[in-house]
Amino acid sequence: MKLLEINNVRKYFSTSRHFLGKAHHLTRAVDGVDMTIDQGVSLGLVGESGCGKTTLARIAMNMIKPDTGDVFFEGQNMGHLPRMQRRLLPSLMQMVFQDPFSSLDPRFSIRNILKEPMAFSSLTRGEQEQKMYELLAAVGFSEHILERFPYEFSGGERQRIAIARALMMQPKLLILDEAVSSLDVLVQEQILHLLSLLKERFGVTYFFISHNLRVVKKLCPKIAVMYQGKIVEMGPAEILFNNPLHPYTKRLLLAAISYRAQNVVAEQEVLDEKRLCEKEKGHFVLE
Amino acid sequence: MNKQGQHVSQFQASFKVFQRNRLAVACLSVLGLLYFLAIFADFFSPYSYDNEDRNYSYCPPMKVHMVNQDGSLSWPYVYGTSFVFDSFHKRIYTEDKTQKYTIRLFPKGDAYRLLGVIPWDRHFFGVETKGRLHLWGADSRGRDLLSRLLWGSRVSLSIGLIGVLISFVFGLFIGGISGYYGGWIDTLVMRLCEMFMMVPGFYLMLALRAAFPPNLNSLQIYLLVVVIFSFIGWASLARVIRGMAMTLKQREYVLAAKAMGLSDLRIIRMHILPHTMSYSIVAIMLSIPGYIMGESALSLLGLGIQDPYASWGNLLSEAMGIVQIRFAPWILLPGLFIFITVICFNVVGDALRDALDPWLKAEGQS
Repeated sequence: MKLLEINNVRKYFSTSRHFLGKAHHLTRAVDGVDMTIDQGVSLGLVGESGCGKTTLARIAMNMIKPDTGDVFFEGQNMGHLPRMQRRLLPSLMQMVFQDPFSSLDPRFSIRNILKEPMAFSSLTRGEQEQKMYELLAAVGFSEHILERFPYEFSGGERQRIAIARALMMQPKLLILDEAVSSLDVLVQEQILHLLSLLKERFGVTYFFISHNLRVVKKLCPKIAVMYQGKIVEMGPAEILFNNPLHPYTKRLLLAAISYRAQNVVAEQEVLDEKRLCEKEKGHFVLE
Repeated sequence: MNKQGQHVSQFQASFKVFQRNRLAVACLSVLGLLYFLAIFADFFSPYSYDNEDRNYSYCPPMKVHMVNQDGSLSWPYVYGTSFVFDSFHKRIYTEDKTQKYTIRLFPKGDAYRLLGVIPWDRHFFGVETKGRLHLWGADSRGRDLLSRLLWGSRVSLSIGLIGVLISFVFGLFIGGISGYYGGWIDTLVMRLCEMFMMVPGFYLMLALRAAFPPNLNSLQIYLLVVVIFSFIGWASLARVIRGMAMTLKQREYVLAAKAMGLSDLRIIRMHILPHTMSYSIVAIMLSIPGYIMGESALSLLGLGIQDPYASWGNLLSEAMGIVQIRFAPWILLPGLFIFITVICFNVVGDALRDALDPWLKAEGQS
């Protein structure tokens, strides 16, 4: 079943403006992206910094309006949602951010941070408390921390709190935007392990965004590679790793192995005329 | 965290720094005392603000005696006064040693309502109603200056506080919205702010006052002055808050709150404005003196609080002539009180800035 469907989405930002307000130069943050995320099949999105991953995530979250194209969540076009349903969106989709030091409001106690998503919840107070304890336990905290403040926690601990907060509404899709990138390697492992446990337990599907192929591979059976605002290759993780077709994917894979990789494949420009073609079942490449 | 590993809140940490500044603590106590006296002005003042006796016009401060004429110690008392006219028809007051009025605690006097509700007629100190007590002298109509000072402090001290609160509510709200939404809303609001800031404050004040009819009652004038001040004061704060909101809205916890579906107003209220608090507290403290002086200036020119009601500026307006200053210098006392209050607010504001500084910096950086 299709959970999230992104259809030919474009978003250009003007980086400099004329004094009359006309855009001079456009940055093609997202340039015609098609992709789908199926229920239960987490998708990893890989690409270098500045390739438009975060913009794509925010478009998926309905936080930015795309210039063209549509985003469907469970078959409903998110651009034309009636007011009441837009209210429900947060309970279907949530997001964990990159920087755990800035994603928790320093003035909120952990209790208030976790309570915040429940503002429109239909649960009673008791049920909310129950839910809060359950999630705290799920991310490995005791309830003693509820009255403490974010600055008392390390980066990894904060990220766990952020994950608990995102899961409070029991979303179907969790977007993790570089969620482990700012953590050191051992803590990354912990968080990734935790995420894989939570996936089973809460039946949530991940849209995992990272610049690190190794990290994505651990969590996602399906991987998409993004380059200069376009998806250049998309397919099941094993196939993509064993048989990368697009030069950029090859470079990424090599880079994950050795530093010399940069010289192996020359810089490849993505041309506008290219389209995603299905090479084998479920494996798409931009040609 | 402190040594015991307990959680130290921002407030506690800042309070410690503040406490170390002795001068500021002293100034804060002075302010506390002034506000306390203002709240219970009707009790602490020996007379009501409009209790006059023309026989005591420009009566100089009375001497308090503690030794009887025969040399024995006595409860503090004052003599009655009598006056003669000199060659310029000026009154020369002398003590009338035949009349002796003991200063008593809690004597009966003018009736009032304590805190606006409890009817009472006892005052903190005073003399029996036959005599009069003017510890700090009397004004042209023989009204007790000390009493009028205390009554006037109600207006002068509260106008600063209320005016500042109203303009800050507006400034925070408007600045928050402007910074958070950005775009054309921001442009519109900021150009509006600049229009307000462009006009010199004092003339704007005069113009606004002139736009309203002159024959208002005292409460109306009081409210009018408050509104005028708030009208002028919000713009500069809104500008600063707008700048802070623009940086704060890019924090990821604001994005997270958006992703949770919280409304914009709720995000501004919960995640943006609280982070401007340390700045706002300092700014409030430092801008109260301006309001107090503004009220004084309006009243001094006769556009603010009208006689017989008292405010510090209104009291000072009697001291505008050289004759009064030369022969009755005690009517300058309200000026001293304005001076003390303004200095105290500035010192406390500066100390608060120092105390909250680590937090101001931390919030500016992270």
